[in-house]
Amino acid sequence: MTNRQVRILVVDDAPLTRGLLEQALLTYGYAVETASNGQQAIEYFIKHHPDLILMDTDMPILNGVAACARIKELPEAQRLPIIMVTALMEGEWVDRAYAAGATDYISKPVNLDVLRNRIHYILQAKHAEEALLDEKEKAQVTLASIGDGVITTDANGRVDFLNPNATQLTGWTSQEAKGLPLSQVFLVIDEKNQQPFEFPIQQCLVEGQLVEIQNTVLLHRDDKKRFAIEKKAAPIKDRNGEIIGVVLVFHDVTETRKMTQTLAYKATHDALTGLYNRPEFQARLKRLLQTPLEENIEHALLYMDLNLFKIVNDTCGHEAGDQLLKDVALLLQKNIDQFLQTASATLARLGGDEFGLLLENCSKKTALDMAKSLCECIENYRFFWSNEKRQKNVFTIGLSIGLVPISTLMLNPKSVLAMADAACYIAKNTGRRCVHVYQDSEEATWANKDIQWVNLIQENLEKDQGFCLFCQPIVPLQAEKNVGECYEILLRMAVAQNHLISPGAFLSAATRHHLMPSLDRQVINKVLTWLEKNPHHLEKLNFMTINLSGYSLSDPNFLETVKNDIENTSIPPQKLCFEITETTALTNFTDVLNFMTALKKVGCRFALDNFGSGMASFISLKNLPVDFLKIDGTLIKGFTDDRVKNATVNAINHIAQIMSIQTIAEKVENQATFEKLTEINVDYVQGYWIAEPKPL
Amino acid sequence: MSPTDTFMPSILATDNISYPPIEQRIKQVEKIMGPEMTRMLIQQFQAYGPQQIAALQQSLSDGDTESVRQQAHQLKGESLQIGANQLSSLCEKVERLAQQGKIEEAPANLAQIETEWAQVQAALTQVGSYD
Repeated sequence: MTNRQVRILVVDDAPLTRGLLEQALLTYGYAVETASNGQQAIEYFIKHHPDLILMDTDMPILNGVAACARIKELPEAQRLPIIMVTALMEGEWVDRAYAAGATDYISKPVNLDVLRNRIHYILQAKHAEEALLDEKEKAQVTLASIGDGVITTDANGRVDFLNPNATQLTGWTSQEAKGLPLSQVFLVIDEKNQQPFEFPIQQCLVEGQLVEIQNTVLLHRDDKKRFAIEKKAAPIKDRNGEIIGVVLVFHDVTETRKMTQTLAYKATHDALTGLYNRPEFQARLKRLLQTPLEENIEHALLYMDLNLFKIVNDTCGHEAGDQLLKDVALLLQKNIDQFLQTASATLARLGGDEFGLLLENCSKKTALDMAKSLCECIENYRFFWSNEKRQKNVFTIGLSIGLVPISTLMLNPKSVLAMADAACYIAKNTGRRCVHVYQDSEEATWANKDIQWVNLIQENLEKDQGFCLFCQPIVPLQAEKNVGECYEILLRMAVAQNHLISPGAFLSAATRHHLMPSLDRQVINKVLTWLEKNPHHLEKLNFMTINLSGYSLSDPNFLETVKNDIENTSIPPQKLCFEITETTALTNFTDVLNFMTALKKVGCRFALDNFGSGMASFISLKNLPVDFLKIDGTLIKGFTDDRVKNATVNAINHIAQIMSIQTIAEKVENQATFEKLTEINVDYVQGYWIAEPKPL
Repeated sequence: MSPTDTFMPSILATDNISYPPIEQRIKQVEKIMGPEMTRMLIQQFQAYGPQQIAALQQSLSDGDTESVRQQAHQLKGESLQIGANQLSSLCEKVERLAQQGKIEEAPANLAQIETEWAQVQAALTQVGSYD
């Protein structure tokens, strides 16, 4: 209807009147078509869709009112204006015409001025209505397109309209919800207390305020699916400023909130184990330290370090190491949960194989009990791992714990952690005593001591006389086996002029700082050199045993170097026997087997040291090409009075005999032991009662 | 057929109203239609009237009820636009008789129509010759 000429259909059975109206309308600039009865009018409308119909009410064949009603039934005629022409004073006709859908009427005789103005006005109104409908449609399309849910209500707070997004989130369609109270359609729950939340629509309706709500959950009508939403409600005002309703705009923030939660979680948690991470642990410790300590309330911090984690990681790969850490994290958490009733605990992975446990409102005694319980739990745990070659490994790990009771004097989280770390070192280094409680005087120097050891070892490694070798005889009990001298080579380090110390003091530092391969090579080189320089000793020698660390066996270059060194000498390799501890063999099984197999080919011999100290397995023993079993000193010590130890030693000896492996009993420190061992036919004995170590 | 089709509009309700003189009415029509349109309509009506009355007479003597009804209806409508209300009213009576199938009662009315036409004719001539 924009620039196109407006087309009007004139319907009248009276030719003169029809002609008159046609003439007049043409004069006004309209395009005019005519019809002489109602039936024709309907047919013409269907074909040509005129913009307006001017129609006589009283016509033969089909009168105007009936034709008007029929045309108005057609959907395309919904907004078609129809003006009826009626005879004067036809009151009833007027009503009927309007009822049939006529837009307006004009009386006969037709006043042409009135007709002109009326048509003009009606067309203008139609134009305005169409523009308005366009606007409404645009608004509805807009509402349907936006991502927000929109609900509008009337002035009484009853639902008027929902856009498609609102329908999706609430489950109510506009039609279903129309006229219902908002609270019935818009089911909201407070996120914090999970209670139904009444939306304060009155605040909008009465006070005309903008209301904004967060942290609520919207419920879907049918499946009660929950959406986290944020919403705003604003009053709708008419032109005069009267509040005629409320528009509620809300959007689904479920994803956003999830993401925020995920980020917050990631920032405070360790990705591998799911425990808290170091920053969060430190933050909590800091918070705790800043809280004034009340009387009778104690806290404690545990610093935990896994023993032998590195072996698992190095021999089975990081995947195994990661799995071990996850298992341990679970075990610790479970144990803590079971143990604690009143205290609050924060367990965190502080890095590598170190864990931290912050115990709030926890006495020193409880903390100590807890620590012991954790040690026990980890010690009893066995870690199983199969590698790609389907080789199965079983590891026994341990836990060293440094415990620090927290006092008000400690203000710096870092220093508390350092104290705990130092206490943990002591726990680890003093015979793997599981838990060590921090005491002011000694520990502060421990970390420093460790560094001092490392410096000393490194200095000595570079010096010719930094280390020297001792030997302790190993004596055969059966005379016929006396085919030469046997002894174990022992290492000593020079710490001051003419002062030598045994490895017990510095081995843990050397292990921690990866110095074992260097130390072991030093020993082997010194032995080989000495033997070459002392051919008469070599001649008398049956075998000498040399201790090797598990860390050396894991070193990829160690085997080749040692093999070359041996092959470059004229020393008969069978005179060299390497001692590997049972624990090392079990935990580094693959490396140990490779190493033994390779040097067995060269001709060297092997002894399994400290046998019976751990969870020795004769089955795994069967797979290792060992020549000797060194029965652990703890079994020998006092075995004369201890029936269990006695039986164990007997069993080991017996099985070794069956497997054609010779046995060496360590730490033989008195005659009774010696005699008993002779009695049960152990092959060799070694110990202070037999002979003390002496310089080589 | 919808009920509206059988509904007969009636200007007979105003039967007892005495219309203003025909000249006056035509002048009113002239006011609301303008002189040009009025002159055009008067000319057309002067030719149309006698034709339509003659046709009506013919149909009546032929006993063609349907033609009587249509012709009377048409003349009724045209008369109304020119302001000849009395004539229109007489036509409606005939239309109604035809509708009721009683055209044998119509000749009296037709005589009245002819008399009324003479007056309308005179008035039209008078108004049409004003300027």
